[in-house]
Amino acid sequence: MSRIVWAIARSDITRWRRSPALVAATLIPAIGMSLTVLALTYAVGRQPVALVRLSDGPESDEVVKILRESDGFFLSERTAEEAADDLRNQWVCAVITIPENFDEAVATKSANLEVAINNVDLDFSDDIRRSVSEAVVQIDAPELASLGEEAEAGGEKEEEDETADEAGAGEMSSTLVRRANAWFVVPDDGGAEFEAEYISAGNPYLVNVIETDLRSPDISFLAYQMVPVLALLALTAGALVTALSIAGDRESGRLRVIRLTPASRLGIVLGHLAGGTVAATLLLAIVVVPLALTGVLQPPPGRWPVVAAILVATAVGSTGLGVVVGLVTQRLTTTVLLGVNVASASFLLGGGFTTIAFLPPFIQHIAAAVPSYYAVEGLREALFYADMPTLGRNLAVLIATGVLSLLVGAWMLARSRSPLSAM
Amino acid sequence: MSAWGRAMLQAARGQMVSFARAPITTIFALALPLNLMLLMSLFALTGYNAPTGLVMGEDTPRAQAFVQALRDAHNSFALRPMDRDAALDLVRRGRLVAVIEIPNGFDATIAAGRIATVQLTVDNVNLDMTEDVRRAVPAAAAIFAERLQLPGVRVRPRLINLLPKDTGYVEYLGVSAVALAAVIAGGVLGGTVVAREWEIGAARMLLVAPTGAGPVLIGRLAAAACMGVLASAVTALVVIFGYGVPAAHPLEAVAGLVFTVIASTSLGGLLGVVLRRTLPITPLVLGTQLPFFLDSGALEPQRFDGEVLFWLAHFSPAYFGVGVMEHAYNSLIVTPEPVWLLLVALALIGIVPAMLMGRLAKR
Repeated sequence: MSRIVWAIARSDITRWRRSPALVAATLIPAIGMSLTVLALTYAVGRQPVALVRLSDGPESDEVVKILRESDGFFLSERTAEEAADDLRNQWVCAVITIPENFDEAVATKSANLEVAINNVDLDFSDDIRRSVSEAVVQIDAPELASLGEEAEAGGEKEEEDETADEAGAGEMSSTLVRRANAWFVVPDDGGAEFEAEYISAGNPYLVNVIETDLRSPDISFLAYQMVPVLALLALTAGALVTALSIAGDRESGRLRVIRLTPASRLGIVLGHLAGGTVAATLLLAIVVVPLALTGVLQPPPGRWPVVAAILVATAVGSTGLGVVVGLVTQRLTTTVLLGVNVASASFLLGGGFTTIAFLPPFIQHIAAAVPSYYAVEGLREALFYADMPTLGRNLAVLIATGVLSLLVGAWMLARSRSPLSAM
Repeated sequence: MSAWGRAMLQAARGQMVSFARAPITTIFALALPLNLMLLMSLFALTGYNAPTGLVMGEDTPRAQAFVQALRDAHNSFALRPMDRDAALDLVRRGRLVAVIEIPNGFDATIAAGRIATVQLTVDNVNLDMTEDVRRAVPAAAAIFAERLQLPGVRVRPRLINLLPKDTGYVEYLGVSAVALAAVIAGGVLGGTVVAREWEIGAARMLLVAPTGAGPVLIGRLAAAACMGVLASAVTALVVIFGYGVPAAHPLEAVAGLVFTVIASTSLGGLLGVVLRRTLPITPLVLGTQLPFFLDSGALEPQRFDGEVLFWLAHFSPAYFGVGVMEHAYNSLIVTPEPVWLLLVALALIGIVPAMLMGRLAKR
């Protein structure tokens, strides 16, 4: 049987290699998606904003410095008229104005930073609002607004916190009371009250945050988004190519001839499964190796064998889907349409642009029926997380998809017509 | 009627019959845009409100005030109260973006005018969400300080919205996806019906016909466009009734949908003439148009992502379609070009490839 399996597998791979149309069908969706991810990497979380400065002075200088250093903006300094024009013509999505007499207002604790936002949609409008708040908080409490910055800053921050805690630990309980425009700490033991600013100097928000990250450094957006792109590549190379190959055989009459040979039905289906899996695995390797060498994909030490196993299992599962799609359809056009519907649904429900765990439960249940969900989850776990609690399940589902497709495929091949024949 | 017109009508009728005779193929073609629209909406569902574990060390007025500030911090957190161990377990398994722990003694510390320390544990795997969380915590602190009128804050942001209301991300992206549906439906159907003429060998005969191949190909495209409009209309109706986003300018929505389908069908037809094979049409249309969709103003006005991506977006009808549909549904202006100009551009994209098709068919 192995001779038949490899003959069919070789034939599928050779046909794919020699057909520019098939190569294009396989590679273009994945290449397009990679380029999109690359473009989004540079755009994500950062918005073009105009700065209008109507005040000069050390406080204004400080605010400008903070805004320039913020990773939430692409900042350009403009006059009020230019900024209004830019906002109208969508060169910028917001205008931050440092008003006249800003420095004087800062001295009296009544300064405002005016932010006009083109609030077309909630996602990026909220990005701007958060970034502006962060920048404003940085003026009075730099340590609160420096979340996610390098470890050195974190170390200093913790030290300060400890000092503050120690300072507070020895004090009696007290109450904060407002009188006119000032706040006073009134010790509960009846001691002399004093102005609150004295204690909270340096952080008037009275809240500090100690951030613990699960890993250091942050995972780059490119690396995170490359995982579903790999799944997409497996889907197009494994599922689409195999489906088209089988449908092509059926349309040209080759499938009928093959069925007349002594080759077992299981062997024929296994041949297509092997061919698609090998093609998909090779393509994945061609993409993954450069990503690993350039440091885009950096799993924890010792994880590469696990990553490789999941990639091969993804190729098996995807090709299994392709076998079923190819056998269920009669016409090549139908195969293409069903294949693309299945591939796009698998990609997007697998976590293509999102994290399935964060979606409503009913969508999570639907996603759980899609093999690519297990591929994306398995790869993300292996590449980015310390533990891999669902590794066994993910591998089992992907391999089981391939095995199930073998059985279903062999059964379908035994039927004289495809389930969707003549339609 | 002229021979040219008769040939075109006959070709269109023949194509409609062909669609009816292959119902499964037609259903899959109609399902593809709807499928994509629904699935793209998933992206919007996780665009904001990061799932965050909330561990309360105490249930006091100031702790509650801080929680409320977190809730009001620009749609940043979907707070889920839970115990510490469960929260840390979930964040380590990627089921939460972050865990915020408000310590015991928070209220008393703030009351004493001292600094309370909140613990934030972040699963910094997805940089987009991680940065949102990191920026949202200071934003929440600012809201908290404002509401408690804490002294010492020297500068406050004064946010001014240009539009009277925010448009939710699902509403925005859902409407954009109607344009995607129109582009995909038109491109796939247009490309397939034209390429099929070469695959079945009919094109050779058409070239020696007295009217040439032009009227037949345009007739086929007209039938494909009708099906494309039907497929896109289904997605448009799902957005209206399923997502609850009524069209603010219904006629404009219809015009935008029809023009986008016509432009895409025509481009698809041109692709079909060039490739002359049906097989690569769908993957090619999908593979190029999905990235173009993300680069079309589908997520935010495209110019915000920089000049290069902005001008690149003009190579796809998705950009013009999204611009028209966002205005038609949400009354939003997301392109520097006015709506009439977007419609003119779509019309031109519809006409020019159809004219080129006749010439290319002779080669």
